[in-house]
Amino acid sequence: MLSYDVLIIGGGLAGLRAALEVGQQAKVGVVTKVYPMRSHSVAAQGGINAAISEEDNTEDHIYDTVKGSDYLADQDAVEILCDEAPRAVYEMDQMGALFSRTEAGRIAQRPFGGQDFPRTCYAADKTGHILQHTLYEQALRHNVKVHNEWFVLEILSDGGEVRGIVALDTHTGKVETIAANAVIVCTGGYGRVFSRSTNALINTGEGMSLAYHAGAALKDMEFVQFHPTTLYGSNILISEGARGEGGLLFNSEGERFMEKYAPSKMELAPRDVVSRSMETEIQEGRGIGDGYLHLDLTGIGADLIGDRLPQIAELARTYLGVDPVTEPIPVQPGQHYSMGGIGTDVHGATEVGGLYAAGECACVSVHGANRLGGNSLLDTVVFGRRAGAAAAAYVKGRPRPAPIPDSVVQEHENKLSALLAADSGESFSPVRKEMEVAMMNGAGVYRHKDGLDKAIDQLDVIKKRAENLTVSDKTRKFNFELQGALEFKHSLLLAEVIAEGARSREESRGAHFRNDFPERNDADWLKHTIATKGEDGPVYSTSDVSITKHQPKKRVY
Amino acid sequence: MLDKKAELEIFRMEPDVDEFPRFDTFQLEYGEHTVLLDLLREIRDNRDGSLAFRSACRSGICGSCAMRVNGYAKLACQTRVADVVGKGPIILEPLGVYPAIKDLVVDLEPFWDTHNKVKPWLEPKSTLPDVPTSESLMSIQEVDKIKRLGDCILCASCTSSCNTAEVEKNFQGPAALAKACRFAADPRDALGAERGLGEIKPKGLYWCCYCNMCTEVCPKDVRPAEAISMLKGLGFTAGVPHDIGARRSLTFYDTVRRWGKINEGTLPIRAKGIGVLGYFPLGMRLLARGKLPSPFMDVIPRIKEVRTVYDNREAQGDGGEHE
Ligand SMILES: Cc1cc2nc3c(=O)[nH]c(=O)nc-3n(C[C@H](O)[C@H](O)[C@H](O)COP(=O)(O)OP(=O)(O)OC[C@H]3O[C@@H](n4cnc5c(N)ncnc54)[C@H](O)[C@@H]3O)c2cc1C
Ligand code: SF4
Ligand code: SF4
Ligand code: FES
Repeated sequence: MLSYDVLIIGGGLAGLRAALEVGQQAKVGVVTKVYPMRSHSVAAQGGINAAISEEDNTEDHIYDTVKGSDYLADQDAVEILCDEAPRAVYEMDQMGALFSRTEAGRIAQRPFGGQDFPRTCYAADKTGHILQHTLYEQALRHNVKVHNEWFVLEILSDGGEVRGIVALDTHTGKVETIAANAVIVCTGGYGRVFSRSTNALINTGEGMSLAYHAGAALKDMEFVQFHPTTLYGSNILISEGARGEGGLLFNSEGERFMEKYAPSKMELAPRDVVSRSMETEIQEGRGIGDGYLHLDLTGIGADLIGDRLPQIAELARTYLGVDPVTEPIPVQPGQHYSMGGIGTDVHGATEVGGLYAAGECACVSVHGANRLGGNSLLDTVVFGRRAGAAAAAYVKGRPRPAPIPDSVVQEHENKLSALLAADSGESFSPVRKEMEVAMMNGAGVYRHKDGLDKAIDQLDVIKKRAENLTVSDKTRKFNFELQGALEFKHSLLLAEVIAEGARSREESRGAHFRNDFPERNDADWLKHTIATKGEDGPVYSTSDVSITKHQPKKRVY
Repeated sequence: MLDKKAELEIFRMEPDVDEFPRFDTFQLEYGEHTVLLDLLREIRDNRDGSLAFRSACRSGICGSCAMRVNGYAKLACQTRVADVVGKGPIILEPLGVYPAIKDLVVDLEPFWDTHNKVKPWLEPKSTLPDVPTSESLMSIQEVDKIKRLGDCILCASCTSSCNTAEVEKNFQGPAALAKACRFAADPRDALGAERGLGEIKPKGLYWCCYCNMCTEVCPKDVRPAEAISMLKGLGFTAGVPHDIGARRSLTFYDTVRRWGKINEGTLPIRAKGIGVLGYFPLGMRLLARGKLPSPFMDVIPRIKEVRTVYDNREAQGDGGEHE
C-alpha cells in the first residue's frame, strides 16, 4: 500500500512549494487531479507582490494589505506574508523563474490596485505560468513523487487526526488509498460555483469541502472576489496589470467613471471598489451592449503591449476579435478569487491533527474581506513553504502511518458503483448550471437579504435534485462525467456556506456588499465567520480578528 | 449569437470495450467567437456525457486540450470554429504519436518521460542560500533571448506532430529540446547544452530532420525547431559534441573548411568513430561495386572564399544564435 509521511493534495503553486519544503526532511507525495502544469496557477497573469525596491518597505506592504482587506485580515499573518515576500520572490528567481527585468538587471515591478507603490514583480503577463513551471521543474529535480490525474474522494481522519486519503485513479478507474501522517490541502479556488468566473473549469473547490468533512473549519466563505475586468462573455481574465500599465475604464457615455467612485486611485482602486462601480454603471444604464464596459489600452502603445501584455492582447483577439492596440476591450466583472477557505493558523495547521492547508483553498487569513492583486501568488509560496515545514516537523518521530483498511476502498467502490448503476435521475450538468446562476444572482457583487433568501431556497431544491443524479458513461477510465457529478456535490456545499455566510453577515465589508446594510459594522462584525460540520449540515460561529498595529479606519481610496 | 451550424466528426473509443475506434457526428451551432472547446463542452454537458477530452483553463495557457483538428494539432480552446470550418465536417482526433486511451484523451506518459530526461530545470551554479537576500542580476537582453522558450505550455502539440518522433519513440522531441535550450541558454544555469544531446536512449537533437512541423503547430510560438539549432550552437561553443550526430556535424565543418566540399569517405569514420568497423562488411561490398567514395580528394579551386566565410562567421562570436 502507498504511504507517505506527508501527502499533498494539489500540484499548483502552493502544493509544489510545500512539497519541495517537505522533501528535504520527510517522505512526500503529491496527488493531483490534473497534471501539475494544468493547475490554475498557470493562468495568473499580473504578478506577485514583494517590497524589494530600496524605495519601498515592508511596513507599507503590510498596511496596504490590511487596508485592502477592510481590516478583516489577521494582522499577525499579514506581517509574515509581507516579511517573507522578498525571500519568496528571490527564491523563485534562484530556482529559475524568468522574471521581467529592469535596465539595472533587477526584477521588474509594476503598479497594482490598492497599493501605494509599484510592488508587483512580474514576468510579462504570464507570471503564474512562469512560477508554476519553475516549481514543477524543481520538483522534478528533487524527485518529488506525483500521482497525476488522481481525483481525491476523501480525506481520512479519525480521533481528531488525519490518516491519509482515498482517491480515484482516472487512468485505471480504480479506487486507491494512501496512508499519511499529515495531509496538506492545496486545491485552489472554487470559481465554478458561479456562472461568471475567471477560473479554470477544474476549479470546483473539492479540497475545501473534503477538509470540512474531515473536521476542519471553513472560514469567511462569504468573501468572494469579483474581478472588474473579465472578457465579456467568456469571463477570461484581463489582468489588473492592464490597468497598472495605463488602461482606462469607460462607460457608454465615454466617461471615465472611476472619477466618481475613487477619485484618488481611479482605475487602480482595489478590486471590490472597481467591480462595484462597474456594476453600478451597468445597472444604472450606462453599460454598453447588453451589459459591459470598455477597458481602453489604446493609449499604452503597441510596443509596450507587445512587451508587457502580450498574453492579454492575444486573449482579446482570440476570444472577442478585438485588437487592444487600436480598440477598447469589452469587459465585465466576474468571480475571481476566494478570500475564504479552510481556516488555518500561520503554519497552515487546521484543528485536525496533521491536517494542513495552503494557497487559495486556505484562509489564514491574509486577505480578509478583499485580496489585493499580486498577494495571492505570494500567499501560495509563502504559506505553501510554511505549511510544508510545519507538516514535516509534525511527522518527525512518528511511526509509519497505519495501513488503511480494505473496507475503506470497498465503501467507496460501492458508492461509485451505485452512482454508475443509477438509471433514473438527472444528469448533473443542467443542475450545476442552475446552482451557478443562483449564486451569481443572489451572492454576486451586490447582495441583499431577499436575493440571498431566494438563492438559499433554490440551493435547497438543487440539493435534493443532486441526491438523484445519473451518469450516462458507465465505464471507469477517464470518466469525466462521473468526476463532474462528484465535483458538483462538493461545489454545492460551498455554495450553501457562501450564501449562508453572506446572509448572516449584516454589514458591508470589502468584497461583501449588502444593499440593505451598506456600512461596515465593526461593533458586531469585525469577526471571522466559521462553518464546521454538524449533525445535519454546517454549524456557524464566529472568531476574533488579530489586530496588531493598524486599528480599523474608514477605508477610502 | 450562435447563428451558424457546424458538423463535428469526433474520434470515439471506449477503453477495454471497443476494438476499433469509430467517428460520431454532432451538429452544433456556433457564432463568431465560439471556440472548439465550447462545442466539446456543449456535447459533454447536454448531448453525450461520455465524451472524454481534457480541459482546464479554457484560455490557452494550461496545455490540456491539444488534439488534432482536421489532421493538425491545435488547442481546442484557442481554435475558433469559424477558422476551421470548411466544406466537410470538422474532424477531431486525439494527438498523434501517443497511444489513444479514450476518445480524445491520449497517454501522455511517454511525453513526460522524454521531457523529464533532459533535466528540464535550472541547475544552479552554486548551492543556494537557505534564505536568499537578492535576485541574480540578469539583463533584459538575456531574458529576451530565452523568453519565447519559456512560453512553452507543454501541450505536446509539437512532439505529437514530429516526423522523427513518429518513427523513433526514443527521440527527445521538440518540446523537451526547446526546454533543454531554455536552460542551456540561461546565464544562471550550470549544466548547459549537455541536456539536448541524449545518449543512445533517448535520442537527442541530431535526430531532428528539420521538417519544421513543430514550429508550425506550436500554439505559443515557441518555435522549437529554432531552439534546436540554437542548442546545437550552444553545444559546440561549450565543447560538448560527443554523440554521433554532433561528430557528423563537426566532421562536416572540418572537411568543408579543408577541402571545400564534403568528403563522404571520411564522414562515417569520423562520425561513428571506431564503431564504424561494424560497417566493415557493408563497406567491402560497396567498395567492390565501386560505390564507396575515396577518402582522398582534391581541394576545390576557390577554397579561399569558403574559408573567408568561415572566418567571418566565427569573428561574429557566434554564441548559438543561428538564423
Ligand atoms: C485568471 C487568474 C489570474 C490570476 N492572476 C493573479 C496574479 O496576477 N497575481 C496573484 O497574486 N494572483 C493571481 N490569481 C490568483 C492565483 O493565481 C491563485 O489564487 C493561485 O494560483 C492558486 O494556487 P493554488 O496552488 O492554491 O491552487 P491551484 O493552482 O488552483 O492548484 C490546485 C491544485 O489542486 C488540485 N486538486 C483540486 N481538487 C483536487 C481533487 N479533488 N483531487 C486531487 N487534486 C485536486 C488540482 O489538480 C491542482 O493541481 C489569479 C487567478 C486567476 C483565476
Ligand atoms: S523540426 Fe525536428 S523536432 Fe521539429 S517536428 Fe521536425 S523533426 Fe521534429
Ligand atoms: S513547444 Fe509549443 S507545441 Fe510544443 S509543447 Fe511547448 S507550447 Fe506545445
Ligand atoms: S484548456 Fe487550457 S490550454 Fe486549452
